[in-house]
Formats: sequence, C-alpha cells, structure tokens
Amino acid sequence: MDVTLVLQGLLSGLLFGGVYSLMAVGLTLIFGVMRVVNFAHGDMMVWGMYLAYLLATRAGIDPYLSFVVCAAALFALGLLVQRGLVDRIIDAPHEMQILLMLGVALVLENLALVAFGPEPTRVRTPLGAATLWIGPVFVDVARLVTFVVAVALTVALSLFLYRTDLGRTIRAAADNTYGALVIGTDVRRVYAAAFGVGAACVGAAGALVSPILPFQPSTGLSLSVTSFNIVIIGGMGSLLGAFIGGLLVSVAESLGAVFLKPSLKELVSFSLLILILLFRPAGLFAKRTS
Amino acid sequence: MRWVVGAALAVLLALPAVLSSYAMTIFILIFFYAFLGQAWNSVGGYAGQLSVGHAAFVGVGGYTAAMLSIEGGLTPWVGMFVGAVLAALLGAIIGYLGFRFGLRGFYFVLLTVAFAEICRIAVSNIDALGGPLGLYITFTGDPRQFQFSDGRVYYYVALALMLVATATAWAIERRRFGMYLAAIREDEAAAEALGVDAFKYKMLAMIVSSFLTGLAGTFYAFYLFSLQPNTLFGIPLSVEIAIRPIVGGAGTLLGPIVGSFILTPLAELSRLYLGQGGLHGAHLIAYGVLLIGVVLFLPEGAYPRLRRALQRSRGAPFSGDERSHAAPVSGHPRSEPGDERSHAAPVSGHPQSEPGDERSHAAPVSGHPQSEPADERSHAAPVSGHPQSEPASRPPLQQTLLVARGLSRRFGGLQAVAGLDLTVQHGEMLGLIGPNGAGKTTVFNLLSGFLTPDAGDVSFRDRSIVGLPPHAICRLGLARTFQIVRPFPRMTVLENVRVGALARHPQAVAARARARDVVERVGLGARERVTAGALTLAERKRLELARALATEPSLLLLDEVMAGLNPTEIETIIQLIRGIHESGVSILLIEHNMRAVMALSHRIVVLSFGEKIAEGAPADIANHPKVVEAYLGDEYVRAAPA
Repeated sequence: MDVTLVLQGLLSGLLFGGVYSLMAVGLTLIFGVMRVVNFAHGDMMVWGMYLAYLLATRAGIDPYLSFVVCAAALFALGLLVQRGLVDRIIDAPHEMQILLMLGVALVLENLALVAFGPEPTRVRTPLGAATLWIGPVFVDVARLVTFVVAVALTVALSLFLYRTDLGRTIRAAADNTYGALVIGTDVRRVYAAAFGVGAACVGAAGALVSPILPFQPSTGLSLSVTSFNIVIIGGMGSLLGAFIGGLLVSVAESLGAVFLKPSLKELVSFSLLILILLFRPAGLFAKRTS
Repeated sequence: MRWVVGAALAVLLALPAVLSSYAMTIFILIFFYAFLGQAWNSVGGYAGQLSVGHAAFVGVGGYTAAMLSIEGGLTPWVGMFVGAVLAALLGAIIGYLGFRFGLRGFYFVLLTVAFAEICRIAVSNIDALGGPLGLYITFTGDPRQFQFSDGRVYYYVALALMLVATATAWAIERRRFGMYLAAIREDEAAAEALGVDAFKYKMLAMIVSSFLTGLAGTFYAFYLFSLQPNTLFGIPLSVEIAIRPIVGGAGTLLGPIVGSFILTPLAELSRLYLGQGGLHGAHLIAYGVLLIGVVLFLPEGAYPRLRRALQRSRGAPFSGDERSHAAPVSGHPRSEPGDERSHAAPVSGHPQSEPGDERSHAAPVSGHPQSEPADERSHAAPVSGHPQSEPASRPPLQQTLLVARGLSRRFGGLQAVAGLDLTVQHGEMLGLIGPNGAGKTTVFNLLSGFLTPDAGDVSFRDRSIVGLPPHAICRLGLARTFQIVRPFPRMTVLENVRVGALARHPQAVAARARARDVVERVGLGARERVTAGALTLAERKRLELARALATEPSLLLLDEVMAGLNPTEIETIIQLIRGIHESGVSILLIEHNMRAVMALSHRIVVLSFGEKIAEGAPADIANHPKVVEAYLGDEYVRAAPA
C-alpha cells in the first residue's frame, strides 16, 4: 500500500470531516434539547445546497459568502418546523416523532425533486480548481476553505452555547427540561431556538459543501443516515462527540475508499454503527456513569 | 361486520371480470402492499417495534427465489419458501441483536436501517448477483415459473397472499400471542411483571413478519421481472412498506388493508398523471403530507376511526364509545404524590387504634383456605408444623416461602440495599417500612428480578431465583405491583387483567373468564370495558392489584398501593388486601400509611439507608427507638424519652 495514497486519503477525509462535524453538531443539538431525532436533517442540508446553487447561478454569489444567507433561511425553516409541527407532539411517544420527521423528510426531498429534477449538480467557485502541494500530498483549496469555515462555525456555535445567556439557557434545558421550567425558562422559545440553530448548521454546511460534493435530491437521505451514524458514534446529545465523530467518520469513509472499493466505503460506517449500537450505545466518548 | 367482510370479498373475487388491465394492475399493487403492510404490522404494529428496514426481507426473499430459478432451475413456488426462510433468518438475527441488547425507538430504527443498507451495498458489490444492475428474469409465461400471461392470475395470487397474511394476523390477534404483543407495546416492564417473556414474543413477531415479507419478495421479482439492489433493498421501499399500516392504523387487523386502499391508488395515479408532467416525486410529497397529518390529527390511523364512524351510524350500542369519551375523572392527582404524603404519616406511639382482632382472623393459617381455583401450586406446599424461630412472630406460621440472605445492591456511590436478610412465611402478611430512600422499592426490584443483586441470594419456595428474568419469577408464583402504577393505558380494564390471567390460562377463553372474576373481585366490574388510561388513580391502583392477582401468585409484593388515596378508598383497599390474604396468598407490603400497615401486618421489617434496623410485631416496632430515630431524627428521641 502506497503511503502517499493513505496520507492523501487521511487528509482529504479530515478536511471533508469539517462539514460532517457541523452537520452532526446541528443534529445533536436538536436531539439534546428536545429528544427529537431530526429525520429531515439531510434533506434540510440539501435545501442549503440548492439555495447556494440558486444564489450562485442567479445572483453570482460565491457559496463561501452565501452560506450566511443559507444558514439564515434554514434557521427560519427549522423554526417553522418546530413551531408548526414538532411542538404539537413534543410529549408523544418517540415513534410518533420519528414518523412525523420522516414525513417532513419526504416532503422536503421530493419538493427538491420537483423543483430541481433528479440530475446531480454542483456549485462552481473560483477556488474549485486551485490546489496546494504539501510535500507529496496535495490539498484541494476548496476543501481547505470549507474545512476552515465549518470548524470556525462549530467553534462559534460552542461559544454561543457556553458564553451567552440564550446559549446557557439552551444547555440548561437540554440538561433538565423540568428544572429549566421550574426556574421560569420559556422552554418553547428555547426549543424553537435550538431547532432553528440546528437547522442553520446544516444550511451553512450544505452551502459550504456544495462546491466539493455533487448533489441531487436523494443525497439528503444518505446525509441523514450519515449524521445519525456520527451522533451515535459520538454519543447522542454530545457536542464534542459530534464534532470528533464527524472527523472520525469522514476519515474512516475516506480510508475505506482507499483500502476497499469506493462503493464499499459506506459498509465501513454502517458496520461501525451496528457495533456501537450494540456495545457502546452511549457513544465512544461517553463518560461511564453508573 | 361479517356481512361487510363477506360482501367485500365477493366483490374482490368478481372484480377481474370487469376491470381494465390498468385498473387490475392497481388492484394487484393494492393487494401486494396490503400484504407487505400486514407482514410489517406484526412487529411494527402489534409489537410496537418500529422497523424501517423491511426492504431487506423483500430483497433477500426475491433474490433467493430468482437465483434458485435462474441458476438452479428450481420453481419459485418452492423457492419462495426458501427465500422466506432466509429472510426469517435475517429477521431473527436483527431481532436477536435489537431485543437482546435492548435497542428501542430510534436505536431500533437505526439498527434495521443499517442492516438493510448493508444488504444493499453488499448485493450491489456481488457480481454473481448481478451487481448494481441486478437480475432480470426472462418472461416465459410458464405458471410453474410463477409467470402468467393472464394478468388475472397475478390478481388472484396477490389477493390470496393478502388474505393469508390477514388470516395470520387475525389468528395472532385472537391468541395469547397477540394479547402479549399489545401488552409489550404498551409497557414492556409491566408486561414482564405479569409473566410475559417479552424477548421471546418480540422474536416470534419478528420472525413471522420477516418470513411473510420474504414471501412478498418472490412475488415482486416474478411480477416485475427485474430486481435491482437500490430499489429492492432501499430505504424508500422500507418506508413504502411501513407507511400503509401506519396510515391505516398500526396494530389493527384491517389497518394495513385500509392504508393500502388509500395510498396505493394515490401513488399510482399521481405517478401516472403528475409523473408524466415531469413532476416526479409528487406522490411522495403527498405521502409526506399524509404522514404528518396522520401523526398530528389521527395518531391511531384511519381504520379505528372508520370503524367507530360505521358503528355509530348504525346506532349500535357501542361499548367502545365510553372508552374514547370517558374523560379522566378529575379530582385525583394523576401523578403519585407519594413523597409528600409519607412525611405526614405519624409514627407516633399510638398506631394501635386498630384492634388486633382482624389480624387474628388471619392467624390460623394451618389449613389455608385454598379457595384460589386452579391452584396446583398450593398442593405442592407441604404444610409442616414447625414453629419458626422468628422473634415474637404472631401466628404460628409453618413454612418459609421466601428467603433473602445478604441481599445487596449499589447504585454508583449509593449503597441502596446492604446485606439485607428477609424471610416471608407461608401465609404471612409482612410489612416493609422505612423512610423515603430507605431502599424498599429496590428490595422489590431485587426480589422480582427487575434488578440483579450485587451480592446475596433469594430463594423462593426452596429454589434460588437470583438471575431469573421477571416473567419467569412471576410464573413461579411471585407477583408484584408498581409503586407508580403502570397500566396498559390503551387497553381496557378487562384486557389489562387478561394479560395477567394468561400466565396461568393460555387459552383465551379461560383467561377471559378468570380475568372477569378478578375484575369483579376488586370492584371494577362496572368499568371493565373502560380503557385503563381513563381510570381514576384509585381505580388504577385496584387495577394494578387485579393484574398481579390474575397471575395467581402465592406471594404478592404490593408497593404502596394506598399512596395518594383518600381515607375511604384506603379502607376499601385494606378490605381487598385482607380478602386476598385470606384466600391463601402471602403478602409483602411496602406502605407509608402506618395505620394500614400496623393493622394488616403480622410482622414488620424496618429499613433505613438500605439496612434492616428493626424487625418484629407491629406493637414493638412502633415504639422501637431506632425506628423513631430513623423517621424523626435522634433529637426527637432525646427530646421525648419513652
């Protein structure tokens, strides 16, 4: 096995992982606060991609700028889904919540299909063609920028959660909803904020990944499944776990593509998922509390 | 109902005579998806284990039959069963992993998705199975090859499949199996406590479900003549399978059929009309909207609503009406207020207001009144006459029923129970008291198999029961109630009790009769058709008691059955407990209501911080300095010397 090839796989996996991390952080935030699994997560992300696509093709805005707009739009969508739908069944059994979000996913995916058709697209950016060489391995500049921005956003999000009042309130409600209610938190507002922020994460992630990942409406499903994979590996509800898990899964898939056939790379993450589900259901990084 | 079903069947049988070939295709798909939905329903609906990976079974069944036919020349009429067995094997593996490792809800969904995806990726990468392009079957029109030039044959085969699956579901629903699945769906731990082997029944449901789904794979392959891994194993097909029974009514007999009659034509017509206009995916948008609508506005599905509407329009006296409209009678706290109450319980020195005479009725236990019918167990207990060496035990009780020695259990840094020795004599009523957090409920969980002790042993009727699952312990004759009542909320009172009765009477009819007796006995006869979710707290407590009683225990563990009740209700339940005891059931009672515990118990064990601090007759316990200290603190003891 060529060492360069492995290093190359490691590096591009790591760089792509920034997006996975951002996506998973959004999912885990929503789950941590509301105990609701956003089955429409990947489909929301695809809408972020298509928004970036529209802004690039119609208004000529580079996705590395338009990700802010995409995040804002998805924030609004998240807010709407939470206020209009999720809020009504927040106390229902988990199965009902899963079905509801599955319904939202179906609607979002197929609206994209109706609007944009089934053919894969990608967003062009001037950075797309540029590469840097570090010794024997090359760095795709678009990937690098995507990685840097995604990580910066994740850091900004954790600063928001740890340093601002609303952020602290969100974490408090995630820790203990009942306790938060008792001390007078407007939990509905916290839920809406959390769902909005979680959706904004994939809005930004979608825009950022749109130059380096060809996408189509059905991409959403596999992105959802990948996000589930990551948050299970990192531990449901853990922000740090989601961040590290995102990098880990991306590197694992990338190396899987190097060592196995590219079409088998998902086999690696699904097998990993099953093992984690069975033996470490609280995630790889969960502290043992017993 | 029988008329409607008969008429519908006659229409469906006659229909091919008048249908166009396109309409016939739609009906074939309706039957096919109803069959799949019916298959999914046994595990996803009745057992409540949501699967979004059923496409894997379709794929395994279809590929097996196709490969056997193409490569081995085996007729699909045989191959379909080989495929179904392999699908059932996969189902058993998924079920074993999911249920043994306790994956629920989202985690179980993910497990099923992961298995289906792994199958899809694997098959796409196996060239012998056609790789990503899949398999094609040449059309010969040979009926032995499951191929028919006449579309009507497919129609009747699909109809037959649907009827077979429905008959299977009907048979399950009427048997103990169906009742147990419903109980597991409602509350698995409570079902276990009533003698239901949840793992076994969930596995059975999974195997039945995957076997039937595997059969469907063969039909799919030999109706469409092509198998592609992405469609046959894909998540979208899994969603198609699950969505029909959910929309129609998950866990109901006709739900999958109703759901398929609603959704399949919708899908096909919108595919035909909207798909041609370039609007691919329009029918899936409709699915999504329907799914959202069902969850928000019709969570039990279309069929139950339809049935009620039909029955109402006919003006039939419908017992179910009172279920759905029975408003929860207010005035009682829904949740257990237990904690506050216990502080109010006076442990002063005068709980002796109850005269001891009731107790003395119970005293001659020598010849237990074995009025409990069908009680083979009681004969097994040789009534010897040794007076036990129990200190100051009131009646001369002869035989040990339950012995716990050195029972210990730790939760993290908290030693919840520490080296507890406990003995319950045959025919005894033993009280277990102690301040909040003393470890009483933990003791119950240890005795009934919900927790395993870190150390110590429990033997019940001379056999060690440590490590046995709750359902096995229940079947040995040790039943329990839960402090926070756990009724199966969407089942009626009678159905709740029947689950318990089925532990001793596997036949549905016998169990029903037995359950009715017990319901009458606890005074819920007038409420037997009401769903448990609509009961008052006092009624729920009695239901909890009735369910445990219906398992015909020789030892009953009662966990605060009086908490949250008013004095009249408490008086009723005291009489009830006394009656149960007199019928030959030994009782271990956790109770904060001191008056009741003093009146009922022969002997009392006091627990504090996980340790036994006192044991003896009620009168001695009440004045025991350690007990007073445990409840009120040592300052009280010093301040008010006896």
